[in-house]
Amino acid sequence: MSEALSFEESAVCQAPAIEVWKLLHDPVRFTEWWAGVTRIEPTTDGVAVYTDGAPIPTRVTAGPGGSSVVIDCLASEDVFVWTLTPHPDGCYVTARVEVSDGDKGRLRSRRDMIVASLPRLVAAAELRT
Amino acid sequence: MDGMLRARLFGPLAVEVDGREMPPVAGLRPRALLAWLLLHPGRHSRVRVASRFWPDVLDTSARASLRNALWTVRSALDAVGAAAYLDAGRESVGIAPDLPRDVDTEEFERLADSGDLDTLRRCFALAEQPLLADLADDWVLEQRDHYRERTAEVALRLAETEAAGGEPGAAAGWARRAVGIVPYRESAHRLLMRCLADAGELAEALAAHERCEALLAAELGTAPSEETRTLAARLRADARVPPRERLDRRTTGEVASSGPEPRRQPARIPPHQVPLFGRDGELKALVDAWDEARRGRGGVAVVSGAAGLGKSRVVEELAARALADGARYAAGTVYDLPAAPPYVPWSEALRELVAGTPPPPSDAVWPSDLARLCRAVERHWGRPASAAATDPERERSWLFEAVVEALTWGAHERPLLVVLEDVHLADRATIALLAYAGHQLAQLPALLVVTRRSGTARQDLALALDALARQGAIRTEISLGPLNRADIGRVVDTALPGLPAETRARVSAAAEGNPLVAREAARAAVGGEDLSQGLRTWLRAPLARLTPPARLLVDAVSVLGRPMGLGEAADLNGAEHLADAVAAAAHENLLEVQDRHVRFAHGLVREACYAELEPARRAWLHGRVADTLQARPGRTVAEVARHLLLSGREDEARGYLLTAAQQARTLGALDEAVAFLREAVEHAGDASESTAEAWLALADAEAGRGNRDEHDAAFNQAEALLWQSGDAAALASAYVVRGRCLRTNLCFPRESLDAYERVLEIVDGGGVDAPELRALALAGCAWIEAASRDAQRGRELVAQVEDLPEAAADPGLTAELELARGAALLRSRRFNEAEEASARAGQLARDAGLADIGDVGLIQASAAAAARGSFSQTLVYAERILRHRSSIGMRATALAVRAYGLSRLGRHDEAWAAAEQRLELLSRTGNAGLRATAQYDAGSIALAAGRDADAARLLDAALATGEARFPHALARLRLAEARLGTGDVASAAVELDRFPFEPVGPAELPEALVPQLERVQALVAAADGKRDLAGERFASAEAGWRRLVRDAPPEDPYATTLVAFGRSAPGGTVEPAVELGRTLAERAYLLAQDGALEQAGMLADEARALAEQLGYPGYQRTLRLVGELTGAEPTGDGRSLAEPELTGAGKDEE
Repeated sequence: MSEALSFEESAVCQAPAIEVWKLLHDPVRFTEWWAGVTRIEPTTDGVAVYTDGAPIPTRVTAGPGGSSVVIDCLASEDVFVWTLTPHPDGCYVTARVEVSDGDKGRLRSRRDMIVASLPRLVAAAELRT
Repeated sequence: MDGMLRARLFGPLAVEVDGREMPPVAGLRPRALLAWLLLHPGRHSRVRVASRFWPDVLDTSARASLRNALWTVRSALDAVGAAAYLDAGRESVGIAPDLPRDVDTEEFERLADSGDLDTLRRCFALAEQPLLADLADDWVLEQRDHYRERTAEVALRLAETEAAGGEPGAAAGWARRAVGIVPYRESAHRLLMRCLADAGELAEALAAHERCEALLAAELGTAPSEETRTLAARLRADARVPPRERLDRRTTGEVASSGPEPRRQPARIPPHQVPLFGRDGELKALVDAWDEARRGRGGVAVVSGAAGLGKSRVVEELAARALADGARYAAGTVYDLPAAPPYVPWSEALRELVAGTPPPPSDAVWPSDLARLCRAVERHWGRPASAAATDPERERSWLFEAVVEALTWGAHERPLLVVLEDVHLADRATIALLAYAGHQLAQLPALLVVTRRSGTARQDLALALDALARQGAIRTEISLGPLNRADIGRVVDTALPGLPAETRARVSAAAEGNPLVAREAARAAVGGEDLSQGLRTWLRAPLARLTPPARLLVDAVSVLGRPMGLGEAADLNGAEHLADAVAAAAHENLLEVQDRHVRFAHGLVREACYAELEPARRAWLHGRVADTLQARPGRTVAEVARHLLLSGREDEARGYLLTAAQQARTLGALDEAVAFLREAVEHAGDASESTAEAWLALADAEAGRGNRDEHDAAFNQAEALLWQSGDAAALASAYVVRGRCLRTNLCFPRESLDAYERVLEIVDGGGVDAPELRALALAGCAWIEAASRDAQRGRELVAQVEDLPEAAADPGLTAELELARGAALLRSRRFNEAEEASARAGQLARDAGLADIGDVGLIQASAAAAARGSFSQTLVYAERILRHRSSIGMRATALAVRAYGLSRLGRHDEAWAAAEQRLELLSRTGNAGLRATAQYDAGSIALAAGRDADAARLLDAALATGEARFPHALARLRLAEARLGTGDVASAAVELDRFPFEPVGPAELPEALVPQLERVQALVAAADGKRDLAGERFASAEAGWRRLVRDAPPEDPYATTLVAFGRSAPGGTVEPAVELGRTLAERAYLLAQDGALEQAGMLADEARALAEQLGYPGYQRTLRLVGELTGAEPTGDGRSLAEPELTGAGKDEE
């Protein structure tokens, strides 16, 4: 069995943490910041996230200990954990991604996605203030 | 089957067939089962045997354990070709009646009624060893006492028969044996006296009378009966001997002595008669607290201080005054032993209270609960103990309530003073009960005084006292410091008057303000000791002067770790030596007699004497104490276990430890149960099966305490041992236990499912004949799927298990399955069916005697009723639980349901009362997490009721605890809204800033949090004059709620209700349609104030329609305000948005 691979990306956001929090917890707003996401449809067990391919069933849950938000792609076992911490300029946003099966190729594509999404998330939050 | 089975139950269990010895039965429980079957010949119902040996689990589980145990027994019998002796049918089990057997207990009973001397002698010889000496189950100890009595009867019959045959010497021998077995049976003593007199041994006969007197005085505090005294008088007249002075039964410690004249001259003043010096201020504080208590403002007083500074003495002074006031007084102290039995100081104090208080009304239920802790209830009030609850938490609730009732009853005619000494050494259960009961004395004429040694770090004690202080239950706290030099001088002068000035000065200096040290130093100085040495050195001379019986007594009391009853001392030391031994030890200021107990003058003296014992003598003494205690009826098994361990007899200790753990568990003292089990596994020896049993019991108990890691570690140990043993059924059974622990106490459904699937692998894959285990595993899977995974799959599994005969025969399992069905239906939003199934599960469980599951069923039914909008029915379920004798936790949940239902119906005053009642109930537990949860819930109820200041206070307090048992993010949001309600906009904004850093758990329904946040942000923006921003926020909130309600069919407006599992249902319910209506009303008000009357009117109409459709009485006032502005409604007492009161405008004002 392959070992899980993971990475972290962070950014400072000038907006209050509460604005980032809402973007992370409201799947309907994923289109505002999640790179490649074109449409969101509510389902009975979360939302369906539409990118270029087939819809990806996704659920927003609490992270371990409840101090972070987990965006859980139900189609794979990859885990996206977003954590907010206070920062003098606003807040500090960290994304940690774990690729379950050790697929380095997918790890790269996940990183590309997060690197593209993080600035969009920050910008979307700052726009609201 | 040709051979003859011979079983020996007197002594360790031993079975042989035709001279071949059966190997030991693996595991304590199977061994006990075989012993029980041999002791109770005939066939027995499997159900009854299973519930006798496994009383705390479902019938199916008990039957599975019975099946495993019987398999083990059969294997052992089979090793000697005797498997046929186990007659185990589908419905019954027993020892085969038609096969030849020779069981010593049966032989004993056959011989015992004979009149023939040889037969009786053989009978007596059979029972010379204690019954089942290698087992310590409760039933074994009862039977052991029974056979002791029966053996004594045989000895008496032998004595009578020998006497009738003209053999008074032989008769005296048998009578003496009978007295040795039942020393408190007066008729045996009389027979012995007569036999000795008939044998011409008049002096011996009179000595026997004296021993009888001493024994009765020591054990019962009574004199011999008229019949015995008349016999003694006749013998005395025959012998021309004057009467002898009896053992003085007074409580002063002055015991008559016939021993040698003591060598030390200073007259002894018992410690409790020593005048009290230098404690006027402290005593006054205590007396003031007592006077307050007498006037009906009771509570707790805490007396702290270093050892020897006089804590007990100050309390004794208070007790003397209280008794003079006509008060009732009861006191208890801890055992100075590691891992003592739970609740000891309480049970001692309650014993005194019960003995001195008339019986309560016969319809009161609590005395039977109290009797499980305090046997004096049955003796003095005639109320036997009721059966313990299967759930430790419920048992603890009943017990704690019973203790509070007992204190209330004890204080109903006269004021009550209760003293618990040395609580720094107490077990955790004692501390928890202190926190619970102390809180409830506020309205009683009762004072609870606790003493504790300062400088001891006990976090649970500190927390309990802190909680009592916060609740205003601590009436006074006294800390005793060192006495000044003048007072120490007075102590010395009183202890040893006339000391030379120089000696007196040296003694005072050595005392360093400690009165106990001052007294002992004074005596040491008189004896020429070097005062630079410590107490231990000073005591060597008095110890050396003791007679051997006195030294034995002192040493034995020091190893006992608690005051020794005079009866125990007589058993241990010989009644004939007791008076002299006590007198000698008292003369040396080491021991005193108080309340018919021999005790050390002070704990420090005990510690010093104990330290003086050589290790080998110490171990021997612990063994001697253990033997003495074991032979006494009503022995405390935890205490016996402790002394056996300290004597190095670990094999014997193990059974007692397991029984002690079981007893602690049935008193709701899980911490203590775990401690005993840990010792049992630590001293496990080589017997892997019995060790696995202990590890598994430990895993179960740790789960009961909510400790996942400890549960895993203990289970892994059990699993490894069971693997080694190759017992597949036992391994599967262990996994069933694990599955239950993980899905109930620990709440790890995924891992629980793994455990149940493992059971199925072992049973199905290995062809193990264990249908009960299979049914339990499938039922566990069904529950997990229903409650937390695939509801449809859960319903299918429930139906599958219901078809199994094992499940159909078990009403408890049937109830659990119905509960699982209800959970699955609730998660599928089929609320009507969910309510029916859950209520049915509640009734089935109650019919099966499973009150805990019954209450859970009613709570689940209430959640379903709330989810379908029937809040009045929700209240009905809550009231039903409150009528039951439920645990504190369940009553608190029912109060939460009541508060929620009333609040939802707009009956806010009643809702607030229920929330406060719940808060009060949970505060009593001393559990900070439960209290914080109650504060959160009460704060939420207050917010809905418009009690913004109360809401802010309670929510703030809950969040400040840091406890994680309630939804923090939601609490922060509600606190912001409450702050706004009090007009503090800035603080509301600060709370919102903190919101995103609060943890969000799954029970907080994250999908519903965003619109709730948007709404509160809108309210804050509006209050801050940012009207455009407020409008945007309201619009976002509205959109969020609309998304959640859009799929609701028009005929079922409640279909979108969200239910959070993991929160106390229905407190974890969110109604998106209600929230939408609230948001619409508030947004309409904002728009109306800005002149957008038409849009405001439309939103208000929609909000009004939603409220009507949902039967929701909230936000009516907001709608009236909108009406005033739009002209659609008559004007009311309008508020303007310029005012900051548009805060939670959805609150119910009607």
